[in-house]
Amino acid sequence: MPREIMSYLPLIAVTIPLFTFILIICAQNLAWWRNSWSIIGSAGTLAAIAMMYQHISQGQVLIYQIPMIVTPYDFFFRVDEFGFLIALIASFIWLMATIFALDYMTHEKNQGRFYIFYMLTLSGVIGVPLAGDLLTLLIFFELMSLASYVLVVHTQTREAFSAGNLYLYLGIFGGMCLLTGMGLFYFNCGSLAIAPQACLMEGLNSHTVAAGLLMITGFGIKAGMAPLHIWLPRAHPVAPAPASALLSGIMIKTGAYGIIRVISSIYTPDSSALAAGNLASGASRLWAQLADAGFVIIWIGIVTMFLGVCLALLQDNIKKMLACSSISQIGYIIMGAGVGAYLGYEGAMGIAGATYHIFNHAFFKSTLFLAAGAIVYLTGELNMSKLGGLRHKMPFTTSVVLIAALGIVGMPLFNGYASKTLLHHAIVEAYEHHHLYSLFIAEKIFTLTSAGTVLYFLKFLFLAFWRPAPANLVETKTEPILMKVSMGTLAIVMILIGTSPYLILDSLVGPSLNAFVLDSYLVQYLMDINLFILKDIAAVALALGLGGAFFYLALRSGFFNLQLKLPSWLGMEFYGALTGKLAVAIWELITLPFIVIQNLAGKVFQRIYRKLFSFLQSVDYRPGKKSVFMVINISNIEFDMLLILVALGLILAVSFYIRFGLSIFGL
Amino acid sequence: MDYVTYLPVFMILFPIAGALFIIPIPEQSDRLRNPFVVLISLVSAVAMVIILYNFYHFGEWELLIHQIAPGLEIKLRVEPFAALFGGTAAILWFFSVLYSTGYMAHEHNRRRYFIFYLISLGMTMGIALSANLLTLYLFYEFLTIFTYPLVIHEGNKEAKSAGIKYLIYSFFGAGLLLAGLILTYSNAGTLEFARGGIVDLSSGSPLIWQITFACFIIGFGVKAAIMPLHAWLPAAMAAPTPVSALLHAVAVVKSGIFGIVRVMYSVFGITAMIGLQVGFFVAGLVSVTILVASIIAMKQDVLKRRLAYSTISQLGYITLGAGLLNMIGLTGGLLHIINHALLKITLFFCAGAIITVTGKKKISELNGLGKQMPLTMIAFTIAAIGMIGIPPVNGFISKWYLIQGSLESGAPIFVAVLIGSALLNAAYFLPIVIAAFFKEGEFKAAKGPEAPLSMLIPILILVAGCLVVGTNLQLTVPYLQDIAEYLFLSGGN
Repeated sequence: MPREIMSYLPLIAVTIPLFTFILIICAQNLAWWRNSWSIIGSAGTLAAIAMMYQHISQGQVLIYQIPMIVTPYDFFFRVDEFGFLIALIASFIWLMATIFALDYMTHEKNQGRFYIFYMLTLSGVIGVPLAGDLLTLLIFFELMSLASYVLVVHTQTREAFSAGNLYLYLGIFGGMCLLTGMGLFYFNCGSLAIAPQACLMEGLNSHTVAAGLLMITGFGIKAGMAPLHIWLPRAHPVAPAPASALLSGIMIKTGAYGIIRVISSIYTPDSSALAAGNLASGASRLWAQLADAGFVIIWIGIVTMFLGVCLALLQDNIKKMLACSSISQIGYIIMGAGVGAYLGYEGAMGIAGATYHIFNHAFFKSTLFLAAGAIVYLTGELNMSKLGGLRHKMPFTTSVVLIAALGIVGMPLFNGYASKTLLHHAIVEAYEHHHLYSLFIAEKIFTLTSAGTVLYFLKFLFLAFWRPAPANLVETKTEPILMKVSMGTLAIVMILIGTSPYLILDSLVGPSLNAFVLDSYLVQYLMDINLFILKDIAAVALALGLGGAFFYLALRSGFFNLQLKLPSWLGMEFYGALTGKLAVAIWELITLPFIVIQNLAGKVFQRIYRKLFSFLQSVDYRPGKKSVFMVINISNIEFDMLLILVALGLILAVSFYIRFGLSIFGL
Repeated sequence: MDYVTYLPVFMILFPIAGALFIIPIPEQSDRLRNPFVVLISLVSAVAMVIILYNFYHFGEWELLIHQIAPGLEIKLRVEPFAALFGGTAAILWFFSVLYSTGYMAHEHNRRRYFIFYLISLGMTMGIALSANLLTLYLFYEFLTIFTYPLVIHEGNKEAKSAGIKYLIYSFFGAGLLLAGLILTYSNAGTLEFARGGIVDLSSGSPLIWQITFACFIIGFGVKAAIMPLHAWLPAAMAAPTPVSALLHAVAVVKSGIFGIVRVMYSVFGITAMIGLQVGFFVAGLVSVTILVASIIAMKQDVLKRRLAYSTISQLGYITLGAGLLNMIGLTGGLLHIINHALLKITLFFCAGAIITVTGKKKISELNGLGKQMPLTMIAFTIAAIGMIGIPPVNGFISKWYLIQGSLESGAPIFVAVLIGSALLNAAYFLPIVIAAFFKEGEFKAAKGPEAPLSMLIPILILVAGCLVVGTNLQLTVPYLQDIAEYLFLSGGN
């Protein structure tokens, strides 16, 4: 059976949302039609992607190409196991969020606009993992960036605009980084395929390094990677709950997807070259360079995860806390990808951990955001310090949040456990590879971060759900049915995933490793791994214990009652603004002399021409009129204007002829 | 194809004849004049399409009109680059005449306006179809003269001073052109455009040739708005919007670009340019233009002025593509002639529609306009996205080729220029879109929800054109590659 098979399914999957996008535009004020189209669009996309499974499960890759649409080369879809996995969770969670939105959005304005751009964003998000070359990927990526801006600023408050601006401009900056990187890459390799490139086999040169860095920066902005995360804690909370669930659950994953693709699919030696035993000179140099890059990326991941936890601990707003938690969790994923690159051919554990964590995090983070949406829908309050006692008022939401929180802290038998364990294995493997002391520390930070995660979720659960309700909290009704349906479905799926980690590993995560160049022995080792051994459970128990202990200490010392605010000079935005002001000052200093010169020259020229015109005045063919150019102010002239112009033309032609005539005769 | 042979002359004379024909129509008889004007421009566009059709089926042909002296001829030729510029201008002319009939309905001196609008079409066709520098120069001068009344149309002080500025700058440029022309003729002995150029570096010292080149670049650079010589363009925004749209985004400024590319590839030729090392001179000059114009654009509050500075910046892309001296870069530059024409004319038409309906000229007054004029603002948004260079709108593709060309020329610094300009474009276009769609505002004095149909239809057709050209690249890229190849390679191969 051939590995590649032509199929319309990827095209259908991205056109269904575009089609419903048009239909919703036509029906944007008719609630029933609009809602039906949204559900049909999301469900149709999910169905189209699910139908790919019959080919994917047999180890086939779906391709489809259209020449010269949008890109000057081929508009190319190529769906392998990894892309399929991302597209599948994206469309599934999209459907759940749509169901949630039908009830949630009733208390928002501009519903029509929301659904229009909701569908447009879906098309972009689905297109990214299905794309088969970098340029096609970029097109969908930009579509997603721009369309989701409208979701971010949906509430149109001042805060939303400022967050939205940051989101939009950083997004465009990221897109331009990607474009430049891809341009450089294409120039050097003559190919945009997301596959190992022959031109990299000899090791990297400065161009390809720059291309890789630019692409990682571009994707990293979307993923919320450490120094570029600043938009995330601002943009995610201001969007309506279903949109923030998707922003945090799905859209940042496209960035992570891109990073994994770049470092593990493109910047890696070809498997055929490896099969030929050509490991000797070129490829090993590439492996070494890749390992260096991987080491950096591991540390970026570690910094991101730790920073995210620190930020999350400081938040009082539930959605902000969840957004910071997303930064932290994306740090895990980036670390996994980094281990994959660091270990190169032996990096199966890192990539598998990252992939599995993308999968899990999509579920629990979108569930948590939807739950936060339910809370704000019923109580109108998002600050933990003003909430309380929700376990009695909203028992359904409480149980959903509990399931998701147990997942995110990595409790065994819940869905975060398997991926966190794999990632922990990965970082330990990375340490054992060269016994670098720094990676030993990285592993400790990993554990500390997990403990921090436990801490802020205990805080969240305690403040919002457990403690007695404050007196002024409004009386709540029960959650609307559609919210219950979507959150309930997600919770049930999470429990299923959590209790059957091997099934996911065998049917989705394991096969996705086929998309990469990896040692088959290690892949097999990974598939046969026993996740429930004492050592792994002990690692999780350590994190849980530490987190619990911290929580007890914090509760006793009143840490949560402190309204901590970071001083502004610790934030990236402060430095951004400072740099901006500095640049403006320097620019004005540089341009000052030019402006002076320009004004002076302008004045001088004007004077010269005034003189010239007053001279022309004296040779005007009609005495009494002021000047030639005043005469051509034609509010009063109709035909003689033409005469003047013809005369001018003739004069020009004659003078021209004379000057040329002279040059012809050599004078 | 007997009658077709003479179509180039027809292209030049017919609009002029049409303009003479509408002179007797009284000022107030718009219902008589407007159909005529639209018809004349439509016939011109159709004639251009026939020329294009014949050209692609039977190859190029030329037409000698008048021989002043041996070697000095007025001659027209239909060849790929002429077809590109002429086709773009003639087709867009039709749309802007259609738009003008709506826009000018409430303006004064409509007769004068349309007379000169049509004559300018003839002159632009003359520039496009010229077969030698002399013909090009002639029509280039005439274009300046016949667009002057359009610039000062408003008749107020601002318009008059803009007109003076326009004339002074243009004649300054033309003077330099004349000098370049004389130098070329005395050294090369011919003014004919030829594939691979007419300049032979073995005759005449390199310094003379460099001076000649500088004369041409600065001379044409006035109309192409290269940076120190750009000041007339923002001032000329005092003209009615269709004039700004067509002349100051497509015909006049692109005639400058056309001249630059002609001089670089048909007069000097690639070999001579490499020998003289002038490519980076041009590319460096316009890089500054691209960035500085974008930065200035950010500070403008009058929408049309912001668009004008954006034009200056975007014209730099085209010249940059030509200055990179490789085929990919040239393809990108030529692609941008079409793409920028479509995008910028759409933006200007939207600006004109806004002025007609609401009377607002400043960006700070546009809050909430998206509710008032949704179609216009959606068109504006799409064109703005194209300007930034985000797929799938057509600006992206020229940027991609320009990036490839910059890398090919071994100067990645130009990639940084292009990307920096894209970011600046985002910084000055997107706030308009955001303000229009998401900010609150009211328009009490608005005349109806949207502009009249004669304005709205061209906007919608052109924005659809942007999307179609942006998504179906087989419509443009292969042809543009052929044209770039034609200009790039000398006649022998």
